[in-house]
Formats: sequence, C-alpha cells, structure tokens
Amino acid sequence: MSHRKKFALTATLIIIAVYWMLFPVRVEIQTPRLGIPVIARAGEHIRPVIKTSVPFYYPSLRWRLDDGDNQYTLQAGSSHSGLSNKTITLKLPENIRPGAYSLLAESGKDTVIAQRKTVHIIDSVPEDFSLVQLADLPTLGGDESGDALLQQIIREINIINPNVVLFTGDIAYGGSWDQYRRLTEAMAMVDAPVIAVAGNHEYEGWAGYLHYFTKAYHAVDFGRYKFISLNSGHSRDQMTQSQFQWLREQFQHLQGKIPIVQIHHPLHHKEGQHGYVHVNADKLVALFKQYHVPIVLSGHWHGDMVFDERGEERHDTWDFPGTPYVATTTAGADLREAYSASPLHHGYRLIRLKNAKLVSYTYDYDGDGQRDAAASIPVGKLNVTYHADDTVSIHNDLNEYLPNAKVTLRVADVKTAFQPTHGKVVRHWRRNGEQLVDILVDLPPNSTTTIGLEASAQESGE
Amino acid sequence: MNKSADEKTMLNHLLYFQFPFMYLLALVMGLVVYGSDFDGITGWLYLAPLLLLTILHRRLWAMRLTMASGNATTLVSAIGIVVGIWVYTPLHMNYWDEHSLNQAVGMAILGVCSYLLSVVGAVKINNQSTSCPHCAIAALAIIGALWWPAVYYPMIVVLFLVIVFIIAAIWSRPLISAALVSASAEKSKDTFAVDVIARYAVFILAIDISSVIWDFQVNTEWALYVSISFMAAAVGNYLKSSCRSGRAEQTVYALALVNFMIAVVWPPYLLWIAHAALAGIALGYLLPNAMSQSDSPTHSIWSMGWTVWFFMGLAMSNAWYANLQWAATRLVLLLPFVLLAIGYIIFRSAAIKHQH
Repeated sequence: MSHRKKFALTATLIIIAVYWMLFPVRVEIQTPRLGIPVIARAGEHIRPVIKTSVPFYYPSLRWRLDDGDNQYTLQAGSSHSGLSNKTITLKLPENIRPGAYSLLAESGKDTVIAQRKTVHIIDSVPEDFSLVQLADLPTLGGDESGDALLQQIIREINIINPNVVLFTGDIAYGGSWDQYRRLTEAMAMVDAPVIAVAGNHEYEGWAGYLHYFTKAYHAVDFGRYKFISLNSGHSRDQMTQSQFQWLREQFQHLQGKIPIVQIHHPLHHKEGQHGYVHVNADKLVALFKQYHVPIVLSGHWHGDMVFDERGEERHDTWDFPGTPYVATTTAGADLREAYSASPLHHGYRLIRLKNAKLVSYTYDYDGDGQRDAAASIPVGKLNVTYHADDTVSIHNDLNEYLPNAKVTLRVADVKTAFQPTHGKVVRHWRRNGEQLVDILVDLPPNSTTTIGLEASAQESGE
Repeated sequence: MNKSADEKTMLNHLLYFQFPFMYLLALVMGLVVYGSDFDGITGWLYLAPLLLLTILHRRLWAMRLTMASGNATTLVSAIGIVVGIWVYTPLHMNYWDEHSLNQAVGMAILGVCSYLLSVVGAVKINNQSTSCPHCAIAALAIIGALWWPAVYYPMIVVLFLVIVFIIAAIWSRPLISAALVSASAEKSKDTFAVDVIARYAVFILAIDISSVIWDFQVNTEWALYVSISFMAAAVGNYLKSSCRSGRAEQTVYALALVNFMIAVVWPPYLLWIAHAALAGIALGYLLPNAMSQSDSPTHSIWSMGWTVWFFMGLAMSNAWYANLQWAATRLVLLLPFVLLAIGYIIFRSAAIKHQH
C-alpha cells in the first residue's frame, strides 16, 4: 500500500472513530443543578455553565425558566467559552415572580435540556433566616420504607418553610443510579432551595452522584449568606490540599457575606470515636475562626453532638462563644448510641439566624422549656391532615414554636373572594388545573391548628 | 523512507509508551477518582488481565517475534480499536461507572491489546540497528499533548488510544529479522544495577507525578499537570540524548529527589506546575536507563520492569493519598538513595585514602 493510501485510510478511520464517539452533539447544563441551585432576585444575572460533547462547538440555545405555571424567556448576554465549557450570562426578567423554577435550554426544534428547580427567585433575604439540615438519609428503593420516611421528612420541612435546606452527605446509600433517581425526585419536592454535598457513601456510586450533582464541593450565594459545601468523603475522611486552597479562596472573596459550612464528617471528635476529618482539620478550624463562621454542620455519626471550636464536647449549653461544630443525627439510617448526646431518634436540624447571628440550632427534646445542648428535631411530630371540607389541620407535636409555617390549600371556588381563617396568603398558584394558595401561619408548640378559607367581603382579584 | 528507517519512527516509542503512560494511568485514574467495586466482579475484571499478563509474561515474551509480525499487530490493533470505541462512547460526557460490567470487560480487553502492542513497540525499539533518541522525545511530547484534553473530558485518553491503535494497524511494519533481536538481547547486562536504581527512580517519580490526580480528583485540572509532566519528560529525554555526563545524571537524581521531598514536606499547591515539570524532566531523563534491559531474555520477568515500577508507583501514591495523615512517611522511600549516597561517599574517601 502506498503512503498516500495509508494516509487516506488512517485519516478516514480516525474521523469515523472520533465521529462515532463524539456525535451527535450533546449539551448539558453543568450548573445550576438540583443540589447546587442559583438563588437570585428579579432583574439580576445568573450564569449557567454548559458542556458540549464536541470541543469548540456550542449550539445556539434559547433559555427559559418554568415553574409549571409560568414561563419566562431569558435574554442571553455575554458568554465565556472554554474548550468544552461555556458560561452564559442570562438576565432574569424584572417581572418574574418569586418561586422555584426549572431552567430550560432549547436547541433546534425539540431539544430541551432541563434542570428542575435549580433557579430560585427571592424577593429579599429575610432578617429572620432559617435553614434545615439533614444527613445520612434512609436507604431508598427496596421495600420503599425509606422512600416513605424521606417523603415524611420533606413534608415536615415544607411545613417548617425554611429559606434553604442542606443535605449534608450520605444521601444515597448503596450508590445505585435508581437510588439517585429516587433521591432527586424527592429533593424536587422540597419547596426551598436544596444544597447537597457528598458523604462517604456517595463513593459507592460516585458516577451516579456526579451525573446528578456534577461537583464534589461548591459554594452557593444566598443574599448576604454564602453556603459552602465541602467534600470530606474522599477516601478516608479527609480534605485534600486543592480543596483546602479552594476553600481559602472562597473565604478571601466573601465580600461581606456570612459563610455557613456543611461538611459530612465532623471536624472534632471525642476520644475513641471514629469517622472525623483527619487531615487539615486544625487548619479548617483556624480558618473558620478567622472568618467568623456562625455554624459548621456535619453528619456521619448518626447521632447528635456539638463541639466548641476548642474541640470540647458541649453538654452544658448550646449557647457558647465561637463557632459551634454540630453533628446531626441520621435522617433515616441506623442509630448509634455511642455517637449521640441526645436520645436516639431519626431527625433533622432547624437552624435560625437573625441579622446573620446564630439564634438557635438545637431542640428542647425533653420539653423542659430549655433547648438541649445538642438535640435535633425528631421526625414524625409534624403532620398535616386534609379534610373533605377543604380545610387542613396542622398537628405540631414538637416542643418548638414554628413561625411562618407553610401550608397549601385548594381553592374550591375561584370566583369568590376569600381569606384564611388563620395566617396570611402569600402565593396563588395552579397545579393540574387546580387553584392553590400558600398560607403562612405561626404554629405554637404542641398544638393543632385548623385552617380553612372563608369568604371575604372584598371581590376576588383572581 | 526505507524499511529500516521506518522502524526508527516515533510510532514504536508511542506504541511502547502508550501502555504505561496512557492505558495504565487512565485505568488507575478511573478506578481511584471515579470508583472501583471490589465487592463485585467489576473491580477484579480491571486488574485480572494485568495479573494474568504478569504471570504469562515469560510465555508472551517467547512469542514476541510472532506478535511483532505485521498481521498480529494489525489484528491486536483492530480488536483494540473496536473495543476502545465501545468503551469510550458511553464515557464521553459521562462518568466512569464502577458498577458497569460492560465498561470493566471493555477496559480489560483494551488493557490486553495495549500491553501486547507495547511489547511490540519494545521489541521493535530494541531491534533498531541505530539509535533514534528523538523518536522517544516526540512520543513523550505527543502523550503529553494527548493528556491535556482530559481537563475537559477526563477519560478521553481512551479515545486517543484508539487513534494510536489505528495508526499502529496501518503503519506498523513487521520486524526485519530475528537476528537483530538476538544481538540486541545481549546488550547492557553489566548495567543491571544502574537500571534497578533508575527503575526505583521511576517508581518515585510515578508517585510524584500522579499525586496531583488524587488531590484534585473530579476537578480535572490535574490533567493539565499530567500533560505538563509528560511534555517535560520529552525535554528530559532530549537532555539525556544531548548530555551524557555522569555528573548530569547525578544532578537529575538529586533534582528528582529534592522535588519529591518538597512535595512531601510542603505540599506545593502553588508550585505544582513547576513541580510537575521538574518531575517530568527527571522521568524523561532517567527513562532510557530504566528501559535499557527491556529486550533481555535473561531478565524477561523484568523486561517490562520499569512499567511494573511505574504502576506500583501509581498504586502506592494513591494508597498514601488515601491516608494523608501518613503522607510524611513517603520520605522513607528516599532511604535507598540516602544509603547509596553515603556508600558512594565512603567508597570515594576510602579510594582517596588508598591513593595517598
């Protein structure tokens, strides 16, 4: 065979092989994702990152936000392109309503790349800021008891109505793709923005985790707060140099924001305990002290424990100077007595801040009127009963006052003006043709509140 | 270009190097960064062919002339091309799936093809009647360039393996004669000790060069550093071919060890580019020493010996990174060099005394 023929054959085969592998062109939205959302106000810019299967090729995309009820077209501004990544600047409409939106990118006639509930539009960041943190989730799939437990937790979280929800690792035990699918289905039921990070169990199905969440560690801005999610699941519960350097850069560019940190493995531990950050923990603690981190949230131990920044476990009080290092019990995995300073229970943690100062992060488990030093909120004590007469009862069996709890009611007669019997209507929306309203109501501890809609004197504006 | 000149081409070096520097490195990276399932069959499927090839190496080595024939090379390349495409297509824009049986079987077959073609490359390099230093330089530079796009598509090296196999299938020529192989088999037996030291240095350098992968993990910036290391290896290889003094070699050893030591004592995040480049230069410079026994039947178990050392370096490096609290103990690896240096100094001073 002549050299010319060999060249022709080589080139042809290489082109066929490359074409086979890289085409057809695929586009993915890398960020935002469910678990790494964008939280912004109307009129602000968001910067999604897309990745394409063919280097240097970026199809023209039309961008939309969709909350299932309303759709908004986004104007694309400047973009920054790499070999396979492109960051696009999109301007949010001035008239967009607050809520959770799916980000859609359309290319051509029928290609829609959607990331569900990844863009959260907010009016403002309230002075009274609340977040719920959960870790070590129940195992999904199988007999589906874990799925049911997770749905119960999510129903409770939606009633509590926090500003943000943190999933602090070990979110899918076993690591099958089906578990991640079930998990993301459940996460999409959370009304608030969800910020997720990996734990050690995510490494049992790392491809599945990366497929859905794309990043091992990340930061999400929320008004005056910056939520920093760190990955300690790497191999043996530790933090690598490059991640530590990234963290330091995040702190150096806070621009006045308050950093709140979640990391699956606790930084401090008691003698004899296993499963904590071995390497760089001291440097992390020093960094958190330097930048006045209000709280560091962890899981992993399947029990509640709180340490102060000197590494002393606190049994006396939850309110002490410096950063509390908080390990929260498991949301649905096995419970471990040796690692829990509170009675064993499945639960989640409710954290409240006022003007960026930590107000509370523990629960009065024994009902003595004082918050415990470490306890989190037990699952199953917050329930809703929908009645046939379109009223709803919220049973708050917790020893916790829940201001601005949220409940959704169906509007039976849309033509008649109405008002709730308790609380205030904050949102009108539609689902499957039904008119719904979100009502905010304050729930006293150990109470049942029944809410209905009653005709008001005013004409309905809807 | 005549046949004998054709044999000198860079292709043989590329064939030789693709197994350790592309396949093995990509495999270990995939298993470590994206996961391995040794509770199931898939994890073992990745390693089984490597273990099998080690056991069968002596038999395979005896068959090296058959393997280096044009038809066998074309057949192995063709299998590698088909399997490589099968493996890589679902990996593009997606993630290495530790539970995927298809992926494990594909990578295992690809590994065997890669290894066999590497042996073919080694045989042909040793069969060259004249040396071709620049061929190794070009091959290392190309491998460096091929790692760079992994910043964007981390497993894309598998696609590049397919391209190397396509080129091998079409351009590879059969050996001229067995006589040359026999002749070259006897060369450089007396340098065994020097080669062992060089291989140990390759082991250290494999630890050093790959550390950045285990640190960055799914942040694929590590590919940039790996790319720099192999491009720098081309530079090191060039220096070796143009500067052969013993003092230069000692300097490179010292440079490699100090570079390694700095990385252990003070993980040089900010210096990683310089660090990767220095480690690469040392690797490129010392490779010819490590490779010099590669066609000796008397050392057939070691014939791909430096590759084994390179692989062990990757594995050890990851083991250390999985236990960062013991990272400083890596310094113990420098002990043989320290003892060697002390021995050398004692020997020198004794020799000087004897002269006086």
